[in-house]
Parts: sequence; structure tokens; C-alpha cells
Amino acid sequence: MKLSISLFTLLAGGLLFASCKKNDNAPQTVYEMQDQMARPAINTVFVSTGEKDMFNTTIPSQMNAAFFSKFKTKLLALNPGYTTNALGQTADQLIGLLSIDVLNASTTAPTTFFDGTNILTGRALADDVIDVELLILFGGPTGASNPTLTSDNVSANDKPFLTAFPYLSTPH
Amino acid sequence: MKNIFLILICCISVFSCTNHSATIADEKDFSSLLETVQPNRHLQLLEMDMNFWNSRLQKNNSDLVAQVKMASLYNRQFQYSGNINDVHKSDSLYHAANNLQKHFGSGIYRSLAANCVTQHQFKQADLYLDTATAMGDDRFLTSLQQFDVKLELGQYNQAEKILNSFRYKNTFEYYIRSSKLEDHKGNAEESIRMMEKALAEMESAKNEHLILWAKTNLADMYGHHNKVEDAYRLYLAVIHTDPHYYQAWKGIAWIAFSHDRNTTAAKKILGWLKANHPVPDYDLLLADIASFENDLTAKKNYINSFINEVSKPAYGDMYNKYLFNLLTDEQQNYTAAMRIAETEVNNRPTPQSYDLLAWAVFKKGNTSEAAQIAKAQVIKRTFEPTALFHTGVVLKYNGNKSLAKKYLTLALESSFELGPLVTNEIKQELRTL
Repeated sequence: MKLSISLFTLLAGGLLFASCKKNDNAPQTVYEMQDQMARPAINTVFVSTGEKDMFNTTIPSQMNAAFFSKFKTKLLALNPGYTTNALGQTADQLIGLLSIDVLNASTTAPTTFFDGTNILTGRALADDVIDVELLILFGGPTGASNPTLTSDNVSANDKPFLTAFPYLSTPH
Repeated sequence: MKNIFLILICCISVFSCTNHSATIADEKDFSSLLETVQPNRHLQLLEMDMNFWNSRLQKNNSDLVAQVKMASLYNRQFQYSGNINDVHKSDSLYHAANNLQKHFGSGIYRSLAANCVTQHQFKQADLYLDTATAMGDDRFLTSLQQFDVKLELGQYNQAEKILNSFRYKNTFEYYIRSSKLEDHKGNAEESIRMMEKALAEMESAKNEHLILWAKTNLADMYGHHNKVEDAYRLYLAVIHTDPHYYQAWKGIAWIAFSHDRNTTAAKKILGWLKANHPVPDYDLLLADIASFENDLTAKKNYINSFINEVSKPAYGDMYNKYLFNLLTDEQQNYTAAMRIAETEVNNRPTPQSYDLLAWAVFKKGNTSEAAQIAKAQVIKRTFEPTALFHTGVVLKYNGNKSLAKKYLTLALESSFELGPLVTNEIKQELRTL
């Protein structure tokens, strides 16, 4: 029996095969990495369709080596005028961050994608994640460059989130 | 002592005789399901989902997510509605969404290919899957569908190569495809064994939908190989889990007719199916039953209703095989039948398509050419009972009596699958051989 698992960072340490063979008749259990999803839209935008399967089965510790130069080419194709961004990152620094596609979670700082002070300490439901990403890709050192490209112009969910589980609002 | 022995023998033969002809599809097992009105919960859920996504499309008809969701919902609705326009609506939504989505992934190409398969457009399905392969994402999913399409196109070596390329050979995806390939090769036991493994996989995964799918397919296969009681047991389990699993009901109707000769029960089930799942297929079965009952008016009505429906352009080539059989065996319209056979050979050059061609050529009176086609393209290439029957008849009238007997006898072994009418024809051909 094969179990599909979504890979989270903490599972990345080589949980590729865990087969147990108690006897020959028992079904063999195989764990296989099939997909990975961390920061929204990064995989979608930076990985070419032909390399999606490879990216999805590359563990985070090996992502930088495999995808750094490809991500950098893509960044400079999308924004040929890139110098630094509002976080002061050079292209190499930004790609060094993005090419390891994990969702960080701080145990001490507030949970946020970006709140003006804390960056990538987690992700809360109402965080405007796409705008944050567009800003650091296109906004230049002051955040004021390419003003038409730094927002998706969707500033909130259509319907308020719930205050209790499951937190997401009902389908709308 | 001798007497006891004789009595014993008699008992055994009487027992085995009654056992053979006993009714399998007992109406008590399922009539309550036909009588109580069972709302179709699948359709209710689908309707809710469709209302929701439709409201999104009303607000913005280029909403990509809503387009893809609606396309997939129309495809699922077709499984219950039988309305071919649902598939066309699904197609056009997928095409609209793919204008943008093709820049991000190959998923919609796979969905379009699946819709093509539903509509028997196998070459176009193959092209979509080639595009998906070239794009390169989710290659495993693409290769699963590619196997299915290659098999339909008669490209058996390529299909086998794809199957062998699967890394894991102990998965549901592998088992069901291996089962199909073994069935094509005529390895009935291995084919059944693979489908049994597929069912066991889904039972251990507790995947309710695929358990029903695997049980129904396994039941069909048991039927093909004359294990009619095993088939019935599975069909019955399926309809008791989901009374709206039409394929299983059809299987039971076929057992009632083909094995039990209980036309009343078969007609009752088919009437229910027609009311709940309005696809043209059931008229064909009802025509067979009417013919068996010598009700020629009813037979003619069912056949006309079937032909009128499936000749509509919306169905494309979906019902070619059935139209062909009616044109040759019922209406003696061999020119139209020939056109269909040629279309099928062009659409998918499988041994079964060449069987249609050989049969049309034979019916037009060119026996030796028909025999040549059969020898070159059909014999030893398919074990499908209709093809065996046609081959036997063609060879008989071409003067190859011993081979004719061989193929007619082989076809007769599948008399449950072929049904009482064809079985009688085969017996007749064997008698006059």
C-alpha cells in the first residue's frame, strides 16, 4: 500500500522509504515523497513545468543546490531591473531564501508572513502573502518601484474568518 | 452396494444439473431497492457544489478556479445524468480555463484527455497526453492515462512498456492496468488475480468509491469467465452499498436474462435503470430481451429508439460498435456498416476494429477477403467472444471447417457473456458445419 504524504519541513530528513516486511503476505508499506508546498506561489512561479516533479521530490536541504541558479534566472527574467528589495536583500540573498521552499515557524516571535517588523515567522490566515511576495520581488529597495506589480489588489478575504475552528469561513 | 452407488451418482448428476440451471439473480435479494424511492445522494451533493461554483461564474465568467471546478463537476454529473451535453460543457470550460492554466501545469490536458476517452476520441486523447508529457509535471499521472489510451489504440507494446516503467508494482494503479493487459492477452486467471489484488488494496485503504469500482469490474470479469455466481455476489454487494451504482445493476439484469432467462426480472431492473440513468444503452438490452420473447414490435421500437438517439452528432463515435452490430445483424445495411468499420479501424486499429471490418466485408458477400482480414488482423490477436464468433462464421463459409469449429466452440464457452440470442446463432452455425 502506498501512502501519499505532504512533506513538511520536519519530515524532510530522509523519510523516503520506510518499508516494513513482517511477512511475505503482508502488504508492503511504502512512503514516497510526492509533493511539497510551503510559501504560496513560489513553486508555481519559479519552477518550470518540466521540473515540477523533480522540485516536489527534492528535500529542502538539497533544494538550494538544485534550484538556486534556475530561480535566479527566473527572478531576473521577471524583474530585469532587480537591485535589492525592501529587506535589503541582493538577488543572491533573496534567491538563497526562496529556493529553500519551507514555511518557517518561530516559537517566540508573532506568527506572521510579514507585519512590517517580523518577516517569515509563520503565516496567519489573514496575511496578504501574495502582496508581500510581489513587494519583495518587484518593489525595489523602497518598495515603491513597479507600483503596478506590487499588489494583486485583493486585500482581504471576501468573507470574515471564523474565530474558532475551523477558522476558515464557509465556502462563498 | 451397487444400488447405493447408482443412487449416489444420480443424486450428484441431478444436483449438478439443478445447480447449473438454478436461478442466480433472486428478486428477493434486490426488489426492495427497486421499489423504495432512493434519492441519489451523489446527485444531491453534485447539485449543491454546482450551484455554488455556478454562482461564482455568474459573478465573473473568467474565474479560473470556478471554471475548472464546474468542468470537473459536469464530468461527474455525466456519470449519473447520462446526458452527453454535460461532457461537452465540461470540455468547453476546460478549454477556457486552459488558456491560462497551460502556463502553470499540465492538469487540464489530462482532464481533456479523460473527456476524450469518454467520447471514444482516443487519438485526440493521445495528443493531449503527449502535450502533458512534454510539459513534464505530474508525469506519473500522465503515464497512467497514457497506458489506458495506448491500450484502446491497439498499441499494446507501448502500453506494456509504460506499465513496466511504473516504479511500484504493488499498487492499485498497477494492478488494474496489469489486469487489463492480461485480459487482452487472454490470460483470464492472471487478469482476475490482478483485479482481486486491486480490490484488496482498496479494501485495506477503505476507499469506498474505488471498492465499488473494483468489485463491479471484478464481477464483470467473473461473468466473462462464467463464474456467474461470484459475479452476482459482488454486484449484489455493490448495489446494497450504493443503490445508484448503475453498472452493477446492469450486471444483475444481464445475469437475470442471459443466465436465468428471467426476462421479467431483467426488464424490471432495466426499467428502473432507464428512469434513473437515461443513457441509450439499456434500449439495446431491452431489444435483445424482446427478441428472445418473440415480441418483434417491441424489439423494433427499442432498436429504433436506440439508433435515433445515438445517431445524434453529440455522441460522435461513442456507440459505433453497437450501431455496427444493428446495421449488420438487424438491418442488413452493409454499406453504412462498412463506413463505421472503416471509421473504427481509422480511429483505433485494434483487432476488434478489424473484426468489424471483416464482418462487414463478409456480410457484403466477399468471404475470402473477410477471411484474409481475419487471419491477418484478428486471429490470435484478440480473445473477445464476439470476434471469436465472427471469425468462426467467416472461416466456415470460407471452407476452413476445422478452424471454424475451433473458433465457434471457443465463442460458445462465453455464451453467458454473448447472451442467449448469439449463443443460439453459434449453435446453429455449429450444427450446419
